[in-house]
Amino acid sequence: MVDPYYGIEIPQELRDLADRHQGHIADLIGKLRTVGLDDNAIEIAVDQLMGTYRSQLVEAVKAVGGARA
Amino acid sequence: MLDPKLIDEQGRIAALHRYEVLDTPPAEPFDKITALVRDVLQVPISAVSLVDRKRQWFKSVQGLSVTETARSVSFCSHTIMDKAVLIVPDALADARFADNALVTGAPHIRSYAGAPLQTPDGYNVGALCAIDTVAREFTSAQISILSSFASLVVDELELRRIAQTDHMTGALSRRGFVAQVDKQIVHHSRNGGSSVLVLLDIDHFKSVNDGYGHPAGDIVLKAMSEVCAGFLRGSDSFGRLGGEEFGILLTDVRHADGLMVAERIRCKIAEHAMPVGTGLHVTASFGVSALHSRTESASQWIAEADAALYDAKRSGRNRCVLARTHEGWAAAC
Repeated sequence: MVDPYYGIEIPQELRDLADRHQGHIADLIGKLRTVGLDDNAIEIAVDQLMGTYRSQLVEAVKAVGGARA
Repeated sequence: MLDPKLIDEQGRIAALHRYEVLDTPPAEPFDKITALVRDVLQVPISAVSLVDRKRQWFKSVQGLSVTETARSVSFCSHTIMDKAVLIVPDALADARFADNALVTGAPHIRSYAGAPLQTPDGYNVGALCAIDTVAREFTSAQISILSSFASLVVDELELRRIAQTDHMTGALSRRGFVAQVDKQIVHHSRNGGSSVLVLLDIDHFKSVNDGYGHPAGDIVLKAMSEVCAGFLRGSDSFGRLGGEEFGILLTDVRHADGLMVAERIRCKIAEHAMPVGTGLHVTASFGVSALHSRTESASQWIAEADAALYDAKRSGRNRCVLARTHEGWAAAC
C-alpha cells in the first residue's frame, strides 16, 4: 500500500502552530470551568473544536509537504 | 507607548490579505467557534469580522443574515485599534456608537464585546465579537473566554495560510493554487477578461530520483520553481500541484500569449543546468488552456489543461500543447 505521507516534511511553522493551538485549547478549558460549565459540556465543545482542527491539520500537512513522485 | 503596528494600516491590510480568506465560502471551524461564543456568552449574535480597507467582511456570523457591512459603521473597526477586548455595555450611552446605523436601526446592536484577531506578527486583522440587543455587562471571565476563542480563530487562519504554501519550493500548494484558479473564474464571470492556465510536468523525473537520489530530485524541483518564477508577474500565480507537476495561472493574457510564455519557460528549462553534479539537464511538457465562457469550475479548467499536458507527453515530451477546447489547438509548438 502506498504511504500518502512518504516524503512529506512537516515545516517547523506548522509544528509550532499545532503546539500553540493545544495551549489555547487548554487555556480555554480552564476558563470554561470558571464560568460553571460542566465537564460534559466542556468535552462537547472541545470535541467540536478539535475535530475540525484535526482534519484541517491533516490536510495542511499533506498540502505543505507535497509528495515525492 | 502605542504599538506602531496598531496604526500601520498598510501593514495590517497586507497581513489580512496574506490569509487569502476574504470572500471565501463559510467554513465549519469558524462557524463552530461563533456558535460556541453565542452559547457560552449567551448572546444572540456572534461573528468573525475581518476588517478590510472599506468594509468588514464576516467569515462566520450567527444571528445575522448579512455577509459584510461598511467599515464606517463597524464596531470591530474600533476593536482593532487596541490589543485589549473592546466592551460596549450600552451603545446608546456611548458617544462613539449612539447614532450608529446598526444601533438606531436593524439589527439594533445595544451591547458589544470584541476581541481583536491578532496575527503572530502583531497585526489586528479583525475581531471575534459577541453582540446583544439589550444593554448588558460582560463578566471578566466571559471577556477572557472571548479572547481565548479569538486565539483559536487566528490558529485556524494561520493553518489555512500555511496550507497554501508548498514548503519545499515556496510555490503555492495545490490547495492554494486551486483557490486562486477558483477566484479567477469568479472574477472572469463578473468582469470578463482573459486568463490562461498552464500545467507543466518534468519529463522522466523518476529517473532523476532513481539515478541521483531524492535530495537531487528536490534540488531539481526547487530550481524548476525558480526558473518558472522568473517569468511571472505579480498578478500571476504559481503552484506545485503534486510530485513534479506545477501550475501557472497567467492573468489578463490571451491563449496565444499564454502559449508563448509557456514556450519561453520550456526553452529556459531545457537549457538550464540544474545544480546537480556537474549540471543536470531536464525538460518539461506543458498543457495550456485559456479560460472560456464554458469554464464552470477549477477542476474542469485544470482537467482541460491536464488533457493538453497528456497530449504533450504522448507526442514526444518537451513541448507545449494547447487544449483542444481552443481553435487552432493542433498548432502545438
